[in-house]
Formats: sequence, C-alpha cells, structure tokens
Amino acid sequence: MNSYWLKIEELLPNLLAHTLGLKKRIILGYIFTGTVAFVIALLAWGTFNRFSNDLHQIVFFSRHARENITFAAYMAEMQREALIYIHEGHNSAGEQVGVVYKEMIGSIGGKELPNAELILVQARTHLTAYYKAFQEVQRQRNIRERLVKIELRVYAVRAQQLIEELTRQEKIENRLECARMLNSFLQIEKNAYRYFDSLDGKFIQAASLRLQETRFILKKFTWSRTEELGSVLNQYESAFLEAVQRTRGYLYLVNVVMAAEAYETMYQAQKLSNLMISESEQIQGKVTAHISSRLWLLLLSSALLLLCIILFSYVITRSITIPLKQLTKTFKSLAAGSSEAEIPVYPLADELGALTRAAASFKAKNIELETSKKALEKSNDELEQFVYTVSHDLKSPIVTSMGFIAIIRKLADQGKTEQAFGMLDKVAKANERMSQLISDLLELSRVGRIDMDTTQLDLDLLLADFSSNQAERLAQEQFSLTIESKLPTILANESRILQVFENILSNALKYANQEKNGCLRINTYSDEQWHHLLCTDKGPGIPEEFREKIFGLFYRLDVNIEGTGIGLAVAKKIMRLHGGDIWAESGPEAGAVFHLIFPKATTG
Amino acid sequence: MNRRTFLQQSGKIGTAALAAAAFPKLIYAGNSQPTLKVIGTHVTLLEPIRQQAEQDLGIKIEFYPSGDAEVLLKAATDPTAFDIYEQWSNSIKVLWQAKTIQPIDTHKLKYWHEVNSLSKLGRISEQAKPGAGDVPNKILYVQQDGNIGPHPTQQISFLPYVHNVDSFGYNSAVVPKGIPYKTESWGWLLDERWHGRVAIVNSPEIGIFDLALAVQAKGLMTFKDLGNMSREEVDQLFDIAISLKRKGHFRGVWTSVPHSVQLMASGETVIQSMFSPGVSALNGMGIPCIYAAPKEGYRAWQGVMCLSRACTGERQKAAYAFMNWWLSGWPGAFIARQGYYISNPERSRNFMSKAEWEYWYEGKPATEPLQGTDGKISVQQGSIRTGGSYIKRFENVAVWNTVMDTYEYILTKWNEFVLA
Repeated sequence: MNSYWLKIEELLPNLLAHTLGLKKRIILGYIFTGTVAFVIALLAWGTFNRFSNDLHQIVFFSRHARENITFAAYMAEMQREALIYIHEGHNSAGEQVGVVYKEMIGSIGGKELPNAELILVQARTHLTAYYKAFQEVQRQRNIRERLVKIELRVYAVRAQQLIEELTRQEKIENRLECARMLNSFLQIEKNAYRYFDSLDGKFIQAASLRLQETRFILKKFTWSRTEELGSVLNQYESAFLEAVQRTRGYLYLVNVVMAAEAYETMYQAQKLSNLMISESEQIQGKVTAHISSRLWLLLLSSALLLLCIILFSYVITRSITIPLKQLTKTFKSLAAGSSEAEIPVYPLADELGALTRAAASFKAKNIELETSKKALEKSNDELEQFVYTVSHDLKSPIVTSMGFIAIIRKLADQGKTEQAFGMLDKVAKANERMSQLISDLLELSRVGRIDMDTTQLDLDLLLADFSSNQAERLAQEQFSLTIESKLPTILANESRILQVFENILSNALKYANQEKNGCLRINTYSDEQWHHLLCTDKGPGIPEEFREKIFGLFYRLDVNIEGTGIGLAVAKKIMRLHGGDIWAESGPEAGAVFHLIFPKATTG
Repeated sequence: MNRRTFLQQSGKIGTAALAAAAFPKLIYAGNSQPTLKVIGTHVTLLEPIRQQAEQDLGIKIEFYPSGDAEVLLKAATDPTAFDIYEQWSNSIKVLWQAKTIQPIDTHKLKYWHEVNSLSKLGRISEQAKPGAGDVPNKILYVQQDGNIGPHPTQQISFLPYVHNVDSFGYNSAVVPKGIPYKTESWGWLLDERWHGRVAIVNSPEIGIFDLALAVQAKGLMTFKDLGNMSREEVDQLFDIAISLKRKGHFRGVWTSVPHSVQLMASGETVIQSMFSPGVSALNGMGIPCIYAAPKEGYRAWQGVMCLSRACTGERQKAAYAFMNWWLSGWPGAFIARQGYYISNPERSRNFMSKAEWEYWYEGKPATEPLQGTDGKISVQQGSIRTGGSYIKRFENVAVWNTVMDTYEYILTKWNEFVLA
C-alpha cells in the first residue's frame, strides 16, 4: 500500500511536471483554487436558494391555508344565508348567497398543490351544483309563493264568492246544502294550508277528499253558474296540486340536493385542508431535512474540496520541487567537477527546462574538461616517456661514441693510429644515428603544428601516384603493392597522409620483406561513421602484446632491423589529427594489418 | 367467417328483420309528423334507443334526460312538458296525485298479454317473497274510483318495462367476499370495520330503505311495515343513522353513478349503495366490486312509462307506438346488456344470443365474452351474474322503491342525516 502510495505520490507530480510548464502549473493551481472556491460558493448558493424556495413554499401554503379557512368560512356563511332565505324568505339573503358563491368560486386556490387538482375539481363541481340547486330553490319558492299566496287565495275567494252567491239565490231549504259545500270548501283550504304549514302528506289526501265532496255537493245544484264554480274548483285543485309538487320539489332541492352538495363541498374543503396540512407537514419535514442535508453537504463538500486543494497543491509543489531538487543535486555534482552527474529528464521549455539544459551543458563541459584532463595527463605521461625515451635513445649513440672515442684515445696513446682511425667510422655511425633520431623527432614535432591545411583527397588518385612514385623502390626490394580501386575521398592534408602510407610501406618493407617478394595490399570498406582502410602484408605479423606498443616512440619489434622506431608514432599522430586512428591487427594469413579509419563527416 | 362472427352478423340481420316485421312505420301526411317528447333519466334515454325507435317507427323523438328529482318535478307540475315520462314506480303516486298523467288503455298495448306476473301480480313466482313498499301491481291499475290499486282493470297508470334489483356493492379487495343470499347482508353497511368508508345513495325514497334494511339486519330496530314507515319509525331510524354519521361511520352520500364510482375507485369507500352500471364501471376499471345478493333480499325497482295528461291525438298515437316498440324485443335486449330486465323477456330473447340470454336472464356462466351496449366487452367468459337468474333475484325482493306517506318528513330528516 505504501509503495503504491509512493508510486502515486511520485507519478502525479512527475506526470504534471512532464505535461505542464512551471507557469502553467502555478496558474493552474490558482485556477483550481478559484474553481473550488466557486464550487463552494455555488453549493452555498444552491443551499440558500433551496432554502429560499422552501420558504416560498411555506409562504405559499400559508396563503392557501388562509384561503382554505376563508373558503370554509364562506361555505358556512353561504349556508347560513341560504337557510335564512329558505326559512324566512328574505330575498336579500338569497342575493347574498350569489355574492358569496362568486367570492368562493374566485377564491378556490391551491391547485398548484400536488394531488389537489381532483379535490378542487370536485369542490368546484359540488359548489356549482349547490348554487345551481339554490337558484332552482329560489325559482321553485317563487312559483310556490305565487301559487300558495296568490293563486290559491284568488281561486278560494272566487269559489267562496260563487258559493255565497249560490246560497243567496237558492231557496231556503237548499241553503243548508250550500253551507255544507262552503264548509267542505273551507275544509279544502284548511287542509291545504295545514299541509303547507306542517308538510304532512295526509292533509293532501284530506284536501283531495274535501274537493271530491265539494264537487259532489255542487252536482246537486242546477244553477247557471255551476260550471263556472266547477271550473274554479278545478283551477284551485290544479294550483294546489302544483303547489304541493313545487313544495316537494323545493323540499327535495333543499334537503337532498343542496344538503348533499353542501356536505360534499365542505368535505372536499376539509379534504383539501387535510391535504394542505399533510403537505405543509411534509414541506416542514422536507425543509428541515433539506437544511440539514444541505449544510452537511456543504460542509462535506467544502472539506472534500479543501482536501483536493491540499492534494493538488502538494502535487503542484512536488512537481516543482522534485525537478528543483534533482537539478540542485545535479548542479552540486557538476560543480564538484563530475562528468557523470545524472541530468534529470525534463522535456518542457520552461525555466526548469532551461536549468536542465544548462546542467546538460555544464555536464558536457565537465566531460570535455575530463577528456582534456585525461588527454593532458596522457600527454604528460607521453612527454615523460618521450623525454625518457629520447634521452635514453639519444644517450645511446653518445655513450657509444664516447666509448669508441675512449678506445680511439687509448689506441692513439698506444700509437695504434690505424686501428684508432678504424674506430672513427663507428663514432660517425653513432652520430649519424643520433642525427637521424633528432630528424625524426623534429618531424614528429612538426606533425600538427605546420602544414595541416586540408583538402578533399581522392585516395584512388593519391595512392595511385604514391604507387607510381614508389615503383622503382618496390622493384628493387622485390615487393608488390596492391591498391584496390574505389577508395574514398577524404578531407585531409595530402603530405601527411602520404607520410602515413610511406611509413606503413617502409614498415612492411622492413618487416615483411626479409625474404623478398613481400606484398602490401590496401583495400577499403565503410560503415555509417567511418571509412576503413586495411593495409595488409604477409609478413610474420605482430604479436598481440606489441600491437599497441609499436605505436610508441622508438619502439621496434626487432632492434636488428634498421629504423628509429618513430614512423608508426608519426602515423598515429597524423591519423588522430585527422579525427581518425590507426591500430594493428593480425592478418587473415598470419601477416599484419594496419587498420586506418577516417571519419565520414570530414570526407567528401 | 368463424362461428362468432356468423352469430354476430346473423344476429344483427335477424334483429333488423324482426324489428321491421314488428313495426310497420307510422304513416303521416306531409309535415304533420309528430315529435314525441320523452323525459326521463339517463338509464333509458339513450341515444342508440332513440335512433332505433325513430328508424323503426318513422317518427321524430326527442329525449330530455335529467336527474330523478328534476324529471319528477317537471312531470308533476307541467304535463305539457312531456308526452312520455320514463322513471321509477316510486314516482307514480306523486304523478297520479298531481294528475299530470293519464291512464293507459291496455287494449292499445300490443304486448300487454306478454307482460309477466312480476308487474301484473307483484310476484315473479309463487315462491317469491312478498316485497314491502309499492309493489308494482299495487299502483298499476286505475281503479273505478280513479285511484290506483292492485285490482286489474283495462287501464293502467304506467307501462311496466325496465326493472331490476339493487343492493350494495363492496370492494372485495378490502371487504371479505361473502356468500350470496347466505352471508352477504345489508348489515355490512353498518359494520364497524368499514368505519368512514361507507356511502349511501342520496335519494331519500331509495336510500332510506338501504339504511332501514341495514339497521334491521343489524337488529337495531324493526319496522311494522318497511314500505310505509311511521314518523316514529323514521325518527328512530334517522336517530341511529345520524348518530353513526356523527361518529364518522359514513363517508357521505353519493349523488350520481359516476360519483359512486369515483368514491369506491378512489378508495374513499369500500362498501356502499350501488347501481348496476356503477358496479360494471368499477369492474371495468379493475376494481373487484361485488354487487351483493343480501340474504334479507334486494331493494327492487320498476321502471315506469307514463302518458302525459296533455298527450292527445297524433302524439298520443305515437306515444302508444313508442310504448309498444319498447316491448317489441330489441329495446329489451339492448337494456339487458346493461343488466336490466324487461317485463316481457321472452320477446327480447330473440334479439339476444344464447350466451347473452343464459348470462343475463338465467344466471349461468358466460360461455363467451359479452359486449355491453357500447360494444366493448363488459362480461368476461366464465363470469356469473351475482344473485343468479332473473327469477331467483326477483324471488328475493325485500322492498320496492317507494314514496311513503311520510315523504316530506323523510326529506327533512334526510337533510339532517346528510349534513350530520
């Protein structure tokens, strides 16, 4: 787990460091922090906005609750006014019912409530039905009032007048029957009004029986106006029966239709009220829950976002400090002169990238310095060796000369002049050798200092000329030189390159042609970086342990063979000055191979 | 063509042929074709019936459907407002007393001889319970003294046609299913388990019997004559009912069939007074409403067709034609699909499929899905009509809808009950 975390800890900063520049990372940090702050602000806004909505809802419910209470009060008022109208017949109360109805229809609210739509539709339906029934009640009441208070009285008065008129006109013995008829008719009236007063159906029956009785009595008379009286009785009966039905209809409307609609309206109002209470409680619960949950959410979100900021800041800081630490370490190492200091990988072209590149340059300089130092040390070693070798090898002819000169003096003292003169040749020879050594050393010192102008050299042409110039010498030595065609063209100093081939050829003539008929073959091949020239002879070859030494000063494989031992050292120096090199290898048939390489970059 | 399609198509052809054969159109000269005004309720004043009657009779017919009380008031106060009045037998006393209807001559009724004993004698069979209240025959015949009574004469106060029995319906998803005629009881309406979820039809001349039957079934009181309660009995009955209502036992009253459906569909009620279309509607909505067959017997009703006192001449002739048409078979078959019976069922049998007849009249399981009057399947295959056959249902009548002598008083008590 720890290793995993460590990986993550390294991975993220590195990923960031390799993706975004320093400035961008710093800006990103600010943007991220700002965004987090904005998100927290947004969450806070959402919380308070929700809270505000909840408050609106509470206000909304409060308003509708008030309207609902008003609605119930209105309904009670409308019922009260309706009852006043029904029982007292006050038209003002009847009109007030209409006023209240309109108020109620206009004030039915709360349709925004969920589940309230159906209740409101039903409340409105029942309220409308109630008012419609009340209007019908008014109509029926008016008709009934007209029938009972006007028509029945008119017909009753007319009937009574006619009966009284009949009584006056009839003979005395018939007047008793007239009185019976009048009494019977008055009984009709009495029963009729008793019915309207008590609403007891038995009085209808009684009135009907009295009507039959009255008609029966009337039939006994032959008065000219009997038919008129009969018609009035019919009209009275018709008006009475209609008034009965109107009364019943009126009662039905009041007691059945209006009562039911009023009850249903109140029921729906109560239902709506219950719904509102329930919704209100739910909203209250929701508001509390919302506030609590939102605050928790806000707190948790803020904590989480702050954690994110900390993590992100850490990652960004690490993405800056890790490369800086690495660079500091690198620079410390570089300042100590190390050429092996590790340069951190940092691909971006920002300030750290510039530092990284500076470190890389620093390292290159250190490497160069190290190389120079090594070269200098080697040069010093070589110089010491050179001084030692030169002093040793130059001392040798002097010692030889001094020895012979001492012998000559001794011979001269002994008077052996001829023998002394004979020794002078040896002294001269030693001096000649010393002179040759000095010449060769001068030549060695010249290499690189003078005559190093370079041109494009076609080795085909150069070695062809070389072969041609060496033809006589080769013939004398019975030595063959074979040069392959298609040699490369190189950028080099002509005379020095010729000097290299001259030294290789001389070397071959000395060591690989002791039994004559030796040969040297020059061929070539190339790779991506170098042109390779192989100078192969068929001599005895060079033991492996001497293959490097032979390029040192004054080193000769066979001291019996004439030479100063400087030629190959000159060749090595020339090749290195041309950016190439020379070394010895064993040949394919036991001979020696001098392997030369020329850098392609400096060739044509 | 499969068997069912064949039966349906042959049924339609047969129906049309039978109707055409039974009713040669009334021929009127020029523009003298009368318009028959029919007032009544939505139960029978249906547009398909009007159209079919117009087509069969060749006369213009106008239907004015409205609420029970409104129709009755109109008929009882204005005989010129209608030619034919269609409603329930409980309105006959009122109308006869109001003298807004005239006697109907039975010899002008083509199928009078086919009208069954239920209407003529008040019993469907010898085994039938004598129902209380205004049994149809008691108010059918116009007596010598001009009143209406049970003694057969050549004149009748109404044409008996559509009729049925009513009871209460209950949601069997809540109320445990009972056994028809054995455990199902009007007393269930007062069962405390259904406190607050009981409703009564808002029609005093009907609802009072539902309350009375329930109270009686519960043993809370008895009636000397259930069909003609005294004021004291009314008082006692309403004391019980109002007391229960004040305690919240009743959800309330329902004022229309849709209202009754809405109450039970919404779950506000689980048991209540019910009409047949309401039960069908609830079943159609997937609510398992059972129309109970109470052991105390049904509350029965007789549809009446009355002739206005003001209907004379050509309009009267058309009115008789219309009455005869109603008993000619097709209308009886049509309203049978709503669950109603006709007073001469055998004639309608020809207009019904065997499956329909067996289901609606014989109380047998439906052998195939049956369509209602709207063409939709109203009875699923295998269903059995609650209460059994036509005979069995009408052998178990407790009371007939009646306007009692204490009608006005009942209205005031009803008000107290409703608003309690």
